[in-house]
Amino acid sequence: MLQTTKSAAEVASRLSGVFAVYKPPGLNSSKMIASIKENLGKEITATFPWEPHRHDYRLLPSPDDPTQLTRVDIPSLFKHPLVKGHEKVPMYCQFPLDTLSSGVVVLGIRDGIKKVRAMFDAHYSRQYIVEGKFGLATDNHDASGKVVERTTYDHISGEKLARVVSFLQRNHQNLTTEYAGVDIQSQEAYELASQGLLRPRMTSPPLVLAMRCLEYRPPNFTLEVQCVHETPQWLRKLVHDIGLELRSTAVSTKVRRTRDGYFTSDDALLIKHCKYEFVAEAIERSRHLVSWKKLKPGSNFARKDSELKSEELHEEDR
Amino acid sequence: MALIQGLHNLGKMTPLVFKKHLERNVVFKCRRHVHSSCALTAKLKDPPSVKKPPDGLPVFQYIGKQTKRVNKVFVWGNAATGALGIPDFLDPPPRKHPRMQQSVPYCLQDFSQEARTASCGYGFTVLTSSKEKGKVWGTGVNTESQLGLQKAVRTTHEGARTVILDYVIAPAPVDLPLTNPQETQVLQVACGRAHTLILTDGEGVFSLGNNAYGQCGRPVVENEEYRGSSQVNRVRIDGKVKQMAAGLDHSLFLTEEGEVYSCGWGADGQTGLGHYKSEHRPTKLLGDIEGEKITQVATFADCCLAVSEKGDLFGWGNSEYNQLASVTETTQVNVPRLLPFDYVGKAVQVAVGGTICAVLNDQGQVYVWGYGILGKGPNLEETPIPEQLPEALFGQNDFSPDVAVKEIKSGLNSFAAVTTSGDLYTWGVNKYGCLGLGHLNDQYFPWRVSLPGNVITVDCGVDHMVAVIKSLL
Repeated sequence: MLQTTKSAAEVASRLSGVFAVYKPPGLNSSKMIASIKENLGKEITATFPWEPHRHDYRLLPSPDDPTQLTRVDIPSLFKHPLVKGHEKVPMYCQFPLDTLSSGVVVLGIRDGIKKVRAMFDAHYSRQYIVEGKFGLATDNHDASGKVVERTTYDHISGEKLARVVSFLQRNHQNLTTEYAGVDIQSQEAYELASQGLLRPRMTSPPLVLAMRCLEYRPPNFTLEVQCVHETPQWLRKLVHDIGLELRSTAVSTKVRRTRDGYFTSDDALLIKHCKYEFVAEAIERSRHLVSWKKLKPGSNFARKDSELKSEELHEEDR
Repeated sequence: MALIQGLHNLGKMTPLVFKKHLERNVVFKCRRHVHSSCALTAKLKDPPSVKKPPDGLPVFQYIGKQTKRVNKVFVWGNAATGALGIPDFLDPPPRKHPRMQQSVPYCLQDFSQEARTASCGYGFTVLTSSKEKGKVWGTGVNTESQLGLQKAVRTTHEGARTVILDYVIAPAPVDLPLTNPQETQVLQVACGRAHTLILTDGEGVFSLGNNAYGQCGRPVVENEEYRGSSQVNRVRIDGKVKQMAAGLDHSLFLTEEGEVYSCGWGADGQTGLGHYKSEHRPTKLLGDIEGEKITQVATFADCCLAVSEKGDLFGWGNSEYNQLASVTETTQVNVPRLLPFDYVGKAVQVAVGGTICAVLNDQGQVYVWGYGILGKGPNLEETPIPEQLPEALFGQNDFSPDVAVKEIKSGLNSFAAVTTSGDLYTWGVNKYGCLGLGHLNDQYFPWRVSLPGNVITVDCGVDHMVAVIKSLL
């Protein structure tokens, strides 16, 4: 498992990269990160033996002859865990989730922090499963909020819901192209649009790239949403807007992120698995997902894997 | 001394002993200083549950359970002629300015519920409705009585007098001499430069407006005064007419047997009768379409296209912009010719504008050719053979793979396409904002128009468009 030859400090400093964690609801992102950091640091400190990095000496009275001083080597306690505390693991998250939501949160450790920040500039899309309920309106658009209005929803059929959802999605699709960062009257814009690649490449308001209704069992419904530059609260607002568009009201009961950029929920670790062993393995496993080639500005998540592969081949040829 | 002894012990400590010692201390420290302990689960709140609303809260109903979807008419483009039918644009309320162009779709409120189809001419619009009184409504330019005789009473200090309206700025009913107005339904309307053709289900075709070249299907009268004329002509054609198309100054009629009749101006061969003269009597077209069952004809200016049941394309008329360059080297063709575009597949619909042509095949793919903004970016200005527009431009993606185009229409320099998802896409020259995209820049590839519902049908004029949509709920 762990090589005993390494020291805790060495191990902690070598842990660097990007991995994903599945955040449960009822826990704030930042608190989750704080506890993962601390547990990881403590575990590393506790597992790897402390060895003095140098020895100090003292001149002490000799046990044989108290009048004589002898040199005694004692280990330096300067880097002892009791002095220094446990090992620190710097960790950063670019797209946090709030307390009510759950799902994949991508975390960067040490050098991974740069990559997590670069993921912001790459304008990756994220995918959510949003569950809602018709007939209620609350002060925070979530089912846990204070109910401010009750409405009827017996007129909403699955077909009507699908119609409104696809209408909103197509409205957003038009907007996404405005933030594509190309002149819409140019040939380049046409080339991108004809491949379906006109998508936000600059800072924009929250935008839905694709949305569909997965299930409708009155009054509950489930949506699958792919979006950029969103927050969980904005998705709750989206549910509220769908309710208004259907001449009713709706609250969100669940917001679950199933994909963040290239990281899916299959790649995400549970909090109980955020141990050194699993984290190191997850970082290794996801190293190809965050190569700088993929993160360079202008690279596109919408592109299919086959296209990416052929592009890489072309680049190798050059 | 005790401290020194302790340090001694520390130095001699085996790693294993030290580890145990450390663990004890770490746990202790953890309890003392750090609020978040290792037991994360203890910190989780209960998952959010749906609260029961208080019983005292009233339940609001914003819409009934049985509410039906309604039709709505949206108009955009040049408003100066009154073709948009919004009186407030040209006769604004106090402290408002007149609006000469509308680049965003605008709802034609008063007319919406009963609207069925719409047709746009050169500066005027004719709408059909299911209303009992007034099955056909017109708005816009009426200088040649293309909307029939439209009068208004104007009161001045000299007294009230009746004036003939040259410009109608709100939809007004067009009087038709129907023998059975209760049961007869208007099926289609086609508008040319200054004439209107109206197709009914039981009483044949009516024509109104300018007849200088015989486009109304009646003999040309020298020096006829069209302004203020109330004449509505019943066009005499052998078969039962199924569909019509009106060009600049000519008319095409398609019968249920699949034969095409034409009348009007033929200087470019657009009547397809084998000569370049005007013809006032609707005459059957021969040439390559003889014996073929034609399913649709299209024209806008002076080039005509037709599509047969087999999916073959036929064209005649003007070819100055290489619309028919595949079959001729001259600039005019006066007889229908088969266009050799086999790779297009089975054509089901055609659209033709001033210099641009488009065909839709049974796969829902759109092919374009001609001269102008064709929809393949600014680089493609001219092509004599059809080029396909990628399906992704019409909203086909991984989430909606089945989206296809179901209807194409063409204005003078712009195209409009309706998809199976009920979306409207427009591209071309954006004169007076006639593409409805919210700006006045030309659009070089199909772009979705924001409309609050599913588009049923659309029609393009020279500088305006009209769409009939069905509301979402």
